[in-house]
Amino acid sequence: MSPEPSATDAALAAEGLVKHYGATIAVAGLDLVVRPGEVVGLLGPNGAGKTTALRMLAGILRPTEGRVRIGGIDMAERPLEAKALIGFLSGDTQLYQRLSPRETLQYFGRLHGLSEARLAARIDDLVRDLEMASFADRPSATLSAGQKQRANIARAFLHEPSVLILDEPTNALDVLSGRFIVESIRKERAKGRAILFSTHIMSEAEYLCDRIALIHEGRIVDEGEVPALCARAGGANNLTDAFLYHVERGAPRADGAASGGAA
Amino acid sequence: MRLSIVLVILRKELVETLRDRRTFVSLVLLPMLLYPLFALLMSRMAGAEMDALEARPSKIAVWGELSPDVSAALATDENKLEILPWHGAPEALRRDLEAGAIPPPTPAPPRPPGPPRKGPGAEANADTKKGDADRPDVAVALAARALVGAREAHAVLVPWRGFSEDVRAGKAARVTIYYDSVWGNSDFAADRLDYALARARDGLLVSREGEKGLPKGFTSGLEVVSRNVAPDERRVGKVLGTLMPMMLILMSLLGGFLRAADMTAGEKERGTMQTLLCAPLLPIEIITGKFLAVFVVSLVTALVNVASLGLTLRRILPGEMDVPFSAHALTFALLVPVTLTFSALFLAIAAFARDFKDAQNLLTPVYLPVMLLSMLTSLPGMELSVATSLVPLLNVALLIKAIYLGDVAPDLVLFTLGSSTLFAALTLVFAARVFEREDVLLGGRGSFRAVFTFERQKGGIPSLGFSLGAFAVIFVVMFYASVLLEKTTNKTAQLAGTQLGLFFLPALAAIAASGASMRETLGLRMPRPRALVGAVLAGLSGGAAVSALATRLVPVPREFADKLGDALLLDGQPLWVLLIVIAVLPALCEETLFRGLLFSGLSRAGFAVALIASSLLFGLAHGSIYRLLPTFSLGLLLGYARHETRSLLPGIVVHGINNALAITILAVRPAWLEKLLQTDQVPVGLGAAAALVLALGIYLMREPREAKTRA
Repeated sequence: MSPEPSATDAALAAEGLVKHYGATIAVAGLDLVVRPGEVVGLLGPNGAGKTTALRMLAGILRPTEGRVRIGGIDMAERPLEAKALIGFLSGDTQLYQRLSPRETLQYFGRLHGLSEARLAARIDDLVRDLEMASFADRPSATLSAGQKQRANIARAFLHEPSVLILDEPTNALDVLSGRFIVESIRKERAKGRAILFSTHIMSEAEYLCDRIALIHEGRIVDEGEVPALCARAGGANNLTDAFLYHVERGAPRADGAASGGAA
Repeated sequence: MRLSIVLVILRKELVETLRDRRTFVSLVLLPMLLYPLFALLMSRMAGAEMDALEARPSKIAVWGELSPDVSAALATDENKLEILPWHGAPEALRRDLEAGAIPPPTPAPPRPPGPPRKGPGAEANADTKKGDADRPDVAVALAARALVGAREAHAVLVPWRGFSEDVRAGKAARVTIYYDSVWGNSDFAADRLDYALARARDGLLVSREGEKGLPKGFTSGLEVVSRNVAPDERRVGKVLGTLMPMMLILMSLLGGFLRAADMTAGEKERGTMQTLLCAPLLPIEIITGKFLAVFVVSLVTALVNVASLGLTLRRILPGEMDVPFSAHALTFALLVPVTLTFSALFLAIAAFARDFKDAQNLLTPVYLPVMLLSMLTSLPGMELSVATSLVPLLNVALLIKAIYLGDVAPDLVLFTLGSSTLFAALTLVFAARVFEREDVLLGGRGSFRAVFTFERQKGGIPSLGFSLGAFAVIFVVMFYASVLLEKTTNKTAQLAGTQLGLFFLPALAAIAASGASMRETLGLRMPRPRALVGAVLAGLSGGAAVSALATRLVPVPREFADKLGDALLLDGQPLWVLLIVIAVLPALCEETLFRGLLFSGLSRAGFAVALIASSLLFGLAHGSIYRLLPTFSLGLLLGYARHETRSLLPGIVVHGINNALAITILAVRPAWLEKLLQTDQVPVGLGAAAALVLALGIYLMREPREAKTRA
């Protein structure tokens, strides 16, 4: 991977991440950089290693090899400081069934060490921005999938992290709810956050992402803006075709192609 | 670890628990109903059974001829005996009995405990060959057993040949009752028969006295009335003590069981665990918060159970039988270390599970031994002893039993609390280890084995878990070995063997096995000369200063002091042997174990923890409640010396001089001690002087600040 932008001033930087589960290799050497104000999409088929990669980047899993830096802070050396800069959300994340969204936000706000005054103000803002007023005080067990995911988004945004790591955040949502989440992510980008985002939905990726990284069998096979990606994928018409091209080819591309995309 | 974070997690877990209706039902409602229902059921069942027994007449097969007066006395309505002459007697046996071919059993010598209510030969054991000589009636016994076993009669009464003649002749007529003590109906019939025969005998005696013109009561000689003197609380306690520990423990742990599974596996299943893991938290903060929540829930459950039991007893027992409040309070106090241990254990094991169901599968094998151990309590003869006080759970269950029975030995309470606390600390260390593994929290199970393997470290001091674990092993081995060694008559060899073989060498072996640095763990460095002077002063004064205080707080019974003194003198060994065995060896060996292996490992949790925990274990290891406070205080002094000087040597000096001084006075000038102990207390003046010297010694051992920062 090309050193530009440098790994130290990037909001999020992964260098040579490897994760083994026993004999299985889930991630086989992954390099990735996300700059502030940028949305990078991580695309890949099921089992490509997306979730494992994102979990390592979020500090939930320890990499077998390689390292992660968030805002220049090494995740392995200073995990608490690095994690404090991250908002993480995945499609299968659930809420505490017996707590309301507001209580959930209070819980995580306190765990992040927000002062009570700031926490209250943040919760008010999020309830307004994410249009949660009608259900913020109901037990989470009674909420619809879309409402739950909004509450989850609120939890990830709560402490105003400089890096957002979103693992298929629109998974299992209807079009309307999905679009709402996507728009919320765009608003966060406007605030200068670095966003790493994985999805299955190509149109969503095309609409939202500044750059796309295609991951296959634990490696990034190509990376860059959508037109460049399509051009390299045998002149594919759209992202879906480019995606299929790489998956069907199976073999990872040479490093040179990937670095060209990053430029 | 940040306490504020732990409290946030604890609070959230408790809020969730309170909102779960299942929890409320199983933890509060169930115990509140269980004990009253159980008590009601028990008393109903017992009452109904008694009523049924009393309503039914007992069928008595009489194999032989009773005299008319005895026969009439037995047949009265109030006896409720249904007399069945020759019922079920085999033909051959009847012929033999009528012919007098079978001699009656010889009366057994009176058994001291228990009333000889069934008379001679009552417990015919027809199977024992050896008994045949004294039990010539074996054929009768076998036939009676067959009849009673077939439920055709409740008991068999055999008036031996010549019964009527003997009665008429004023001799002792012989009769035997055959019954089955295991069958309630038969036992009851034997009681009735026994009572009826006694009344018939009284009638005979009165008429004989009348015939001979003797004063009334002449033949009785003694009138014996036996009364059960077991205090009421003991009798009630017997029933309670056998059943309640099991119920209390199982119910208290159930609360922790459910919550532990929910907070770990349940949270994984519901997909909330990873949100917690990506928050800026240390794993130990998450586990501690959750552990405290499980612990609080278990404690509340225990409290509800004890309260429900207490109220039930108050309701069903007449006033004077009341179990005192202190018994319930002590019971609850005992449940604290147990719930602590199992909260940590359940949480650690449930953490491996992928989902709630999986957690239950994993936890059940842990819960089963818990059930078995607590059930053991109800076995007769299973009592709290030094041996059982070291078995986790069983010790507390037996102690609760002892509390309800009203006989609690303070030493055993101490052992039980001490070993329970040690187990609790070990399980906490284990739980913390589990939660440091990322794959455990994310649902993998491949690491089950990895949690138990310990990696040899390179240099440094041993880990907290290792030194606590090693200490626990040494402690248990020491205990069982000392039980074996107690048989040896050579006290000197026994003491020396314990010190070297059970303290010193195992501690060294453990440090070597851990891979830790021997030099750092044991503090093998030369302290400054002034620290050694301080140690000498502290050794000279520490014992007196500590005893001056301790004897006022916990007065030592005279017999205990005398016994201890005798034991220490080792049957009159010369002074130099005493000095080696009582002063030099303990100073070297105990310091290696307590201020070496144990203190170093504990110091990873901070100086205060290391100081207090090592002193407490040091005190407990001396095995007596009267020595706990002095040895604990001495432990504080020794721990302080180890910490300040970063060397084991000053502690060895303090310990050695302290012991040497005591044993020398005891051996050479027992009169001094006698005088000192006349008031059972060390005099204030001596205590104050010793305290001054001690303070000087402590001051001298203190490391100057700049030396510390350089280190």
